[in-house]
Amino acid sequence: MHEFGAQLANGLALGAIYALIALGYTMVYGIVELINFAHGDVYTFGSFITLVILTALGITGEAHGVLLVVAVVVALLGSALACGVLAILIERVAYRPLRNAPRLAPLITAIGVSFILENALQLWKGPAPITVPALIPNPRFLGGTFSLAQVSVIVLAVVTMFALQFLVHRTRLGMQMRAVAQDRDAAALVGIDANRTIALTFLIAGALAGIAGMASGVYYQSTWFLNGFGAGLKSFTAAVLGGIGNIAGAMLGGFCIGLLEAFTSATIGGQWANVAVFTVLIAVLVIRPNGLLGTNLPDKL
Amino acid sequence: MIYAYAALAIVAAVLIDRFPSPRLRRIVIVALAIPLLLVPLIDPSEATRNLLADASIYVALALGLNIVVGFAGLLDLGYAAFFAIGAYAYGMLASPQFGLHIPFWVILLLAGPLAALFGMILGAPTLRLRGDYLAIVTLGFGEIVPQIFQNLTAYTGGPNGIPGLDVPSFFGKSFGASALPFYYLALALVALAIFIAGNLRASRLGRAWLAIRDDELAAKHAGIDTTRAKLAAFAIGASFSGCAGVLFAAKLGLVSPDLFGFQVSVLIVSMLVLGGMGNLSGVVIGSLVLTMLNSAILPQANMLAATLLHVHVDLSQYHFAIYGVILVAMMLWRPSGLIARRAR
Amino acid sequence: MSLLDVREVVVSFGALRAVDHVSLELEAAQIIGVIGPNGAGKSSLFNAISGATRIASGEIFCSGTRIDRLRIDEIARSGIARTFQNIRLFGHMSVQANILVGEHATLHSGVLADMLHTKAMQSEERVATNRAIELLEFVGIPSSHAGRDARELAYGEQRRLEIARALAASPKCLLLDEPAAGLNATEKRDLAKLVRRIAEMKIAILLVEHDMSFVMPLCERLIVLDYGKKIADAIPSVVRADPVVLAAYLGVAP
Repeated sequence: MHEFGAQLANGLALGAIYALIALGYTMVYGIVELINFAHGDVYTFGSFITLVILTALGITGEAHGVLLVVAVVVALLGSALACGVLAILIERVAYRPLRNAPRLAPLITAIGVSFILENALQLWKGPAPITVPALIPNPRFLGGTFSLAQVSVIVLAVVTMFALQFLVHRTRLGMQMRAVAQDRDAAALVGIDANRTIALTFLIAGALAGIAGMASGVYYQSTWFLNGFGAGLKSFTAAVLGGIGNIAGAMLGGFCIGLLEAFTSATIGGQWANVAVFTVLIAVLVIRPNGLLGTNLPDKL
Repeated sequence: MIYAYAALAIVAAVLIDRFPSPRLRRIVIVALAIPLLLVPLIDPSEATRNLLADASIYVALALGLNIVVGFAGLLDLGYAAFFAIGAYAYGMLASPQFGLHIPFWVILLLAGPLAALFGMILGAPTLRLRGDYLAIVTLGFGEIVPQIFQNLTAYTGGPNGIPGLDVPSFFGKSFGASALPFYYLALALVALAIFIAGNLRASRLGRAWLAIRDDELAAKHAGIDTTRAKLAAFAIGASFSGCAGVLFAAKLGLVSPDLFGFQVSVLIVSMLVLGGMGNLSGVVIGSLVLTMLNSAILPQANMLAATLLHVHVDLSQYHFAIYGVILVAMMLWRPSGLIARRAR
Repeated sequence: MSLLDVREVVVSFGALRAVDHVSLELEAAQIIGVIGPNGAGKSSLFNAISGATRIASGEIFCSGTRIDRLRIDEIARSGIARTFQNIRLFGHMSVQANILVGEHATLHSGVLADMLHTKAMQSEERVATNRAIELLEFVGIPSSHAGRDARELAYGEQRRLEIARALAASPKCLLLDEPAAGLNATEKRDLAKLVRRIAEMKIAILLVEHDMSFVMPLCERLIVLDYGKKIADAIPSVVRADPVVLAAYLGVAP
């Protein structure tokens, strides 16, 4: 039972990170129907930036009180901002010129961008895993099952999701995003600047990846240049599982994939976790391509 | 010598597409193939032979993937999985692993159908998916296959793989330690791939693929069973990868799961993108250029940088970035590859 | 039973009935026009017959075989060919290859024969290529264009190439979706002649068209759709005088 609780906590925390990344996939796919392959590497970039910020703040281990709050806030905002800017740059350089090209063209450039980012990150911090300071103190909750870091990550993801829901459904920008997603030309006719709206979507998606990168860096106290490849793929699986284009679905999918990975690792063995997740990816796409909660997209041919 | 060979092959590939008459083209191909056969004899260093053999294996892989991506327009990001299946077939059936020592030639013949079978198993349920989803599904498959080989330690040697694979022999004469026989075999595979791909392109099935790539709905309305046509592309493409895998494993003398990752799949996609998807001579050039870049040009450039500029860099660190730049730059500026495509 | 028999077909998009219990019959060598205001359901009807849209209820038969449950390619092989409102050629393929793709279902070479270019495959290809050239000339495109990319053709030629591609499948029934759209007066006259010659080949023709001056003299019967419902089905002169039809077009109650 204790083992079950521990895996539940692991799975939910991992799932929260996947959910945060998946939100970015789902936002971008929702508006430009592109699998933003470089999204996972933007997430890695976020964890690297977090390390840089924590180092700059002189933090090498657990922080307390005001310093903890300041460190968390600065790292979160800094990472989100850096990743948002990176995502906008990527969109501008590699995707926007291909908006009217055949569907697969931007996917191929996205893979290219992913490789370039991975190589750049490798040159920056080397090929080996890097340690991130254990910023969060470690009191435990719920009979010692959940650590503070786990609870924080889960709460962060859920709060972010609700904020995003609010943004998409209750604000002017969200209305513009939905309009562009539905029909770019019609949106342009009513005076919506599609380029600006798409760029802002990438900014938000990148910021979400940055938040995820900060959270995972601090939670796992480690990162490396290829972190985003597997995490990105699994988060995309999560987005598809929940129903691509669907914000609540991305969150649900993220938690499902996180739990699946945690329990597969605990029962069969960690080396089967990837096989399990990718099998789910293939199965969902084949059996229920609209995901658990359905998609908001028309299935254009 | 290596550069002379590369230059020759590139000139050959460019010329072949420029000759309108099929007979003339055939003569040119034969005339140019003879030096290809002789190059390793003129330059007998084992390094050259090794490089040529590897290059030819990659050309064969690229030609196989070209059928799937270039002809049928299906972005397969897990092509290395079929390469792994061929390689592991040899690893498990011709090694001390199970004490099975099935002859190389038998496995080489069976690897094609075996990989094609796996191609169809993957393709049958997934080929109805839209293009980008299919790409991700194949990527997932490409991740699963080497992972399974890694996990089934009892059968596959786990992360360390299977060493000490049988050295093939030809009528009782062992290949020995030389890469030369593998070069000729890979060259034969390349020739076969060019022959088959060229024939297919000018055939009922090949036209169906190109039609699907241009406009899938219109292709359906023309009476094409698109799922079946795509399945055929998957199967044929996979079979070349499977055969190449057997050659690769036998030449290396070992298999291990890290040889068949996503990077390999993307490397081959980069070859296609560089040469021009669907363009046979372009694909040959693209794969030669990238192989040469990896194994010959970058190491030489390192030395050059050290001697001339007194900078010590390891340019091979930049492999990924180079593939990435190729993918981005080509799609932005030359989406039909270095050599423009002719009308079909 | 007629060659093409559409019975009480309904096509719905959510709450909207794009096609509402429409029936029609078409015989070989007949030319029937489907007209109606924008959004009347003409294209949806075409998509339903050719299988691009699933029908909610009703039945469609082609020479006695029920086809409304079949896949698009199966419907095409059962003898229904179509063109598209916004031309959908295989732009990166040659003009000749476009027609050869149309011939796909009439050819029999298998995967192995295609890989090896067997004697049988080559002779089949020769016959198919000759037929492609014949069709090209039949629709009035010079055979010297055979090797060019389809997208390089002039607009009017692209429309005719699409018809040639559809004819290449040796269809029993040809659906033409606004074939005269964007053509000038001369081209329209040539097109009308072409459509008549196709009908003389015992092919049934159903065409959607906006241009009344094109449809009136060409079609032996006109079917008028409005809000998905069939409001008239008669010879052109009768339809032209029908107050219900006039009301639908002018937007006033009869």
